[in-house]
Amino acid sequence: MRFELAPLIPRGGSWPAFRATAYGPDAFGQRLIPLARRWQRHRTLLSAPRVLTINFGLALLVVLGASALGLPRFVSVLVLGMAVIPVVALVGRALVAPPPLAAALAYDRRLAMFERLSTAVAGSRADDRMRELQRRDAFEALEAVNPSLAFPYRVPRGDLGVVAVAAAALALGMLAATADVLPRLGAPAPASALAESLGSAADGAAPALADPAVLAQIDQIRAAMAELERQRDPDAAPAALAAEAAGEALRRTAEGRRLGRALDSGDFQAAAGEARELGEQISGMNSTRMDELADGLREASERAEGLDEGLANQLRAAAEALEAGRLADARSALSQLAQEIETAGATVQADRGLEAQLDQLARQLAEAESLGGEGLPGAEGDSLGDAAAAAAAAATEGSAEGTTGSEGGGDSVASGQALEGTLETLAPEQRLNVDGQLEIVEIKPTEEGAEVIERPVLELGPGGSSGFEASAGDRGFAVGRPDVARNVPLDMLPMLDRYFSEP
Amino acid sequence: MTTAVNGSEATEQLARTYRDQAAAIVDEVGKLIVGQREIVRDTVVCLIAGGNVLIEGVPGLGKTELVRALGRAIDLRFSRIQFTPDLMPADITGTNVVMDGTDGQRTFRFEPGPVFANLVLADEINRATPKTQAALLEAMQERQVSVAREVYVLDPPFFVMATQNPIEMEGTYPLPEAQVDRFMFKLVVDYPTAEDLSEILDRTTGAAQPEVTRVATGDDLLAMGAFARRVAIAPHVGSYVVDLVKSTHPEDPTAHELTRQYVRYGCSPRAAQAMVLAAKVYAMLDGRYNVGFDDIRAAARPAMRHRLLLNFEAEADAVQAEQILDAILMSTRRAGD
Repeated sequence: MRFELAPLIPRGGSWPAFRATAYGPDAFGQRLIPLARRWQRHRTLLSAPRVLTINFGLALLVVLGASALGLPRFVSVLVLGMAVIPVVALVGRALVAPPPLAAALAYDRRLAMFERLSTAVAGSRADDRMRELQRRDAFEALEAVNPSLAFPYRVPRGDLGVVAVAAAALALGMLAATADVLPRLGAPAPASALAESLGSAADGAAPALADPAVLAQIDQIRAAMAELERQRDPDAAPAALAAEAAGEALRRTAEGRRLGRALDSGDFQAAAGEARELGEQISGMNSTRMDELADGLREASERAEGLDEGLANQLRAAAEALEAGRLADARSALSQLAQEIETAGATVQADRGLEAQLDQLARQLAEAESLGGEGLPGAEGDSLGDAAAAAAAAATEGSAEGTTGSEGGGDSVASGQALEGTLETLAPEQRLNVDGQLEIVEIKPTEEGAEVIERPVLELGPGGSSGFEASAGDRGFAVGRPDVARNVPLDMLPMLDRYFSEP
Repeated sequence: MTTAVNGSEATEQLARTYRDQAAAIVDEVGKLIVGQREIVRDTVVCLIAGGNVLIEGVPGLGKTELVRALGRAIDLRFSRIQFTPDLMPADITGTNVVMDGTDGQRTFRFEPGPVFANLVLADEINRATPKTQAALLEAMQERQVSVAREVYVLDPPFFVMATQNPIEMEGTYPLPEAQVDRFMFKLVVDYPTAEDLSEILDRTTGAAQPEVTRVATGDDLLAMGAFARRVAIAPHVGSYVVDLVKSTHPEDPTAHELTRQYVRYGCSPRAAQAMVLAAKVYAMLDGRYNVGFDDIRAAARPAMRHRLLLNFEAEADAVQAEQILDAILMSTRRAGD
């Protein structure tokens, strides 16, 4: 059997689609040709939905897999391009002539022709006269066949859903391969990219409760935060504290004031410069100033002790050299102190970068968890503000920790780094402190419990204060609280109302 | 070319004639036998194909009447043998008797038995002893009878139509497999429907009795049979027959699962021959010149149901040959499936 492609261009105005090699040159064979072509296209059309669905579905999976593995985009485009091959194959199949016997059998079966056509095609051992009769009978049956009724070009209704799935798979595959909008699932994405993608997701419509996509985002954020926490240098925070403490001691000395301010403000680069400049100025100092500087350096050394041993040692070495009057040693020690400050500065700076990323992730986590609502797996005990506060607290190591609200019936511990924010965007756990900076508040009742004093709403505040204090609408907020100014701006009223309007 | 066309037209005319004659036979028999069109048709098919028929059914369903009606519709010598336990082989085949000659000498002369007919009705064949049943073997297959070293050829056409009763098995002798295999078809007569039963009452209890007219002769049957054998059968249709028969062989790799479980011996090649011959007759009666799958399927059950020898497990599970055949027909693939 020889298969031949149908010519794409009609020859002589007709469509002699298949040569007569397989079909025979007689009237029966030529009549069978268009019927065979019709059947071939019909069955190709019937098989196309499932073939395309499987093809495009597999392509979509591969594209998603490539995206998840972080493979270059051209791989996805290549896979999608390869998915076109079966489409071409289907088209080619529709153009290729089927075996005559198969086509004849198909019509026999479809039209209940009792194998008239297939017997005429396949032949038999009957005598010539009977074979001729049989072939004539088959030809008469063949002429009565209406191929468009026997094999219509129509996709069965049951396969329409399959067609829709194939189209959807193709569209998604193209979208994933070209736009790359789908998240790189499972890949260790950089925190910034993750934050961007999550931000764009959060800007869209709010997902449904316990949306798997939101849960996945939360998991990703937590994983990224854990990774960043792992990358943080444990010596960075003590080094910053040591510099701050040393700067505070040095600020009290005339010669070391500029160095102390630089250290206190966390400007390590400037502090290093000041240390080197101080070393150059030693030779011009009198003994009194030198002693004063030595005392300041020694005190700074003592304060840095236990926090940053390197800084403390250099401070001590400079102090001892100055006390002993060894100016060269003192200059050298201050130069090494400058290097030590630069090293500590680099460590602290890197840690602050990580801390900033952690803060950003903490906000993203809070947003995602608020979108996901309650009942999220793993969210209990670690929900929303807690996660953000934990991240922030880990970043600052209690740099702004203290007790507030001592008269509120329990101790509130405010911890975390000052964050930019406005009242309108505050979460229930957040507030602005007296400096106008954002704080995240954790309510932690003391173990022994606080004394509960029953007071009327309008009599809050220190004893003896009038219940008719001039205030914004007699709201009974914490009048006279040490951390709240008497003249409260109106835009703080919602926050005050939220936290302090109940006895 | 003209000769060929004329030859084809003559053949076509013959085919039409035979088709009409077969239809006329069925119609004539139908005057006596109400309903049972399929049984009548299959019986006629066997006559045309030259096969013997075993008809099974409970008493009173018209088995014997069917065969008698056929004998009347076709101009054939008809004989009826009522099989009983004391029936002897010679009662069937005939025997040599001593004759007094005119010259005073005594000679043996062969007195033909009832088997010397064109259409033999062997009524309740399973009531005779195996020895007597075996007397029919040679006649059924070889179309001849051997008595006392003499061979007597039976005149064609020769058909044996046997009936048997599936109940009242006491004192019966089930047909041996070799003899069962010689029946082309085994037809099972079922109870008539309510409408058919009313029609039977109308026809048989009134004053007027239907008359059956002779519409064909024995030569017509032979000619029809010869013509039917010329009907074309394509290789893929022939392969389907082979596949069906192989599916009944428990040791064959292509055997059906039920065959492996319940069949002791499958169908013989005679089953395939019977299917093809009957299918050709079906095609001829349908005005076609080729055999189709449906012809084979129509012939499959009557041709194979009595050729399946089931095992004890089938008997224990009350599995019938029909069930196995249904499963085989359902699962055997045809070309183009």
